[in-house]
Amino acid sequence: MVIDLRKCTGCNACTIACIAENHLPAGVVYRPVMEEELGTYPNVSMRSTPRPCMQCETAPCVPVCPVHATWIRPDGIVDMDYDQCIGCRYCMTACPYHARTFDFGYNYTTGTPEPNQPYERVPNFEYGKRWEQRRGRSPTGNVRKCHFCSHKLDAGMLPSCVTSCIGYATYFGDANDPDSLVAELISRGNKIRLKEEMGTRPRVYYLI
Amino acid sequence: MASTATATAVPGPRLNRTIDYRISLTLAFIALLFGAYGVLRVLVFKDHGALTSYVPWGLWVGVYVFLVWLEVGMILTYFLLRRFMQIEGLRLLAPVAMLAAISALLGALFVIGMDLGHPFRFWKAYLQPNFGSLMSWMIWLHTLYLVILTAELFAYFRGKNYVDRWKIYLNFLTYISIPIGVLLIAVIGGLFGVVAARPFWNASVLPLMFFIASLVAGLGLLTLLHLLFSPTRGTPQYKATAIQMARVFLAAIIIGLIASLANGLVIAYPNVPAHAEGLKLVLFGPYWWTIWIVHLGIGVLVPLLLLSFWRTRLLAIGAASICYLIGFTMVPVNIIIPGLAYPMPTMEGIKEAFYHSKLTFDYTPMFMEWQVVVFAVGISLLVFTVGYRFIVEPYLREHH
Repeated sequence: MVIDLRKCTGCNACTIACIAENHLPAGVVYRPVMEEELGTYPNVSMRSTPRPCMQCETAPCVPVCPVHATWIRPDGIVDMDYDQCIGCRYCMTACPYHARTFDFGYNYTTGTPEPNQPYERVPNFEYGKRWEQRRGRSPTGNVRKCHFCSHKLDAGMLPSCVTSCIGYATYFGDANDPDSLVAELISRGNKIRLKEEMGTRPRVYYLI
Repeated sequence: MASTATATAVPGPRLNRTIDYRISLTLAFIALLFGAYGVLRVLVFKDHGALTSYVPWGLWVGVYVFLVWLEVGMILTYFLLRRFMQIEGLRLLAPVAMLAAISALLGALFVIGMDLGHPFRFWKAYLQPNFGSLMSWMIWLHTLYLVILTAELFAYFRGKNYVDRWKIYLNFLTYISIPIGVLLIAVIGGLFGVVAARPFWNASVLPLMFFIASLVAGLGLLTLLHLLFSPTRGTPQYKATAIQMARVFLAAIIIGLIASLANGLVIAYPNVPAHAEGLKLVLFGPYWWTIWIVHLGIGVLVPLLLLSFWRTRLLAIGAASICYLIGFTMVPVNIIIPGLAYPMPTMEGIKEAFYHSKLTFDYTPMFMEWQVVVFAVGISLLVFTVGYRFIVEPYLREHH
């Protein structure tokens, strides 16, 4: 994935599209957009940095899992098995990007007079399975993360954050294909990766 | 089972007296009753208190680490004092120390089980383990440690003759429990130390610090157990042993203090934000009082003074042990939470990126989290009380 920060308007459409696609409950977010103020007044500018899971090549979250509940797929996506996850949250501490969130079982209507509305019980289809949001049942009590909408990728579609971007700031493709657009974009000198010094080799590139 | 009349006739151990046994049992049940609602909230409502996605470990993990320090440290220090310092007065304290260790261990396993998102999937860690993860090693070593201690305690339960007959095997178990205990502490220290994403934890010295902490905390509890439960109570040997232990305890506290100071200075001196931020949170954050007042004040300064000036007085030694243990409860909590409670460098924007009460770096344990901790303490106290009554007491009576 390549994200052109010069084009990102910080509209959060990708965040919302991701929540809608994966039916994320309250308190779970896969692709927040970090806002950063650069410079000092009056010479200031804003930079918006969407932060999906970096799908690291050497993902620190994978080896720490005590029950093999998370692994790297052959196509590079860091996958999860909700039914295998025991909810120890060790992977969350190991992720330097804060990319993993825990599903505490909250609803958007928790604490309101009419909690647990039908729309909050609509199942999601992450990892190609049907998951209903019910207390005590996965994915509640599990660690959750962005998976580049792998269920859509497997069906030949693009991730929701890519298709919803109003500024065409997010690109997606096979970086190993020399003819692909993403391969061309990351071959330029203006690309960076977050916390590259940690050696996690993220598969998300930013153009600055 | 021994009758009350027989039990009262035997001098020495505290819980011989029925009233002490009843008080202890009552306290255990009060603790269980008090904590029951918290446990219910976890098991039925899947409530994880104030934990957030950015501070995923909190009070429960801290208490778990503290209890592991106690259970391993106590057995290690017992072994060191008996084998290397030849303190004869501790000979009959072995079953008491074993029982206390098992009690702490069960409390620890309970509290960490409550921390899991799916506590009833714990079996996966046994049947489908990933031995590349230190957490798997921790689970397996902890279980092995439980099995060894249970086997040893079972021998004491069968009585003096049984212990004498199987002495060679019991000695073997004791000897292998030492490296397993050391390994368990090293693995738990390593579990935090290997997390490169958390600079406050990520230090090769952390397993060593955990080992020192375990020894000092274990020694504190062992000293207290000697004062309260030693069968030599009332004899000159009892006081001499207590004074000997007080000397070692004083030295251990000083060594622990120097080690912590050295570690703190190494983090503070370069003032690299990624590393120093955690230390600043510990020293000057919203919970500064836990380190300055509870740990350093009550847990270090008071015991240091008591043991420096009144170490020949049993009351002072007992007070020093209690103060140290109370103060030390804050140490693992002050390692774990500050390591998580601030965003990683270059990721500071994550704080305001998305608002929800579970997407914040602020963490203050909720009442129900304390309830779960009290429940775990209740379990430990109940196991210790019942175990003392039905395992340790009959065994010691045989010796009398």
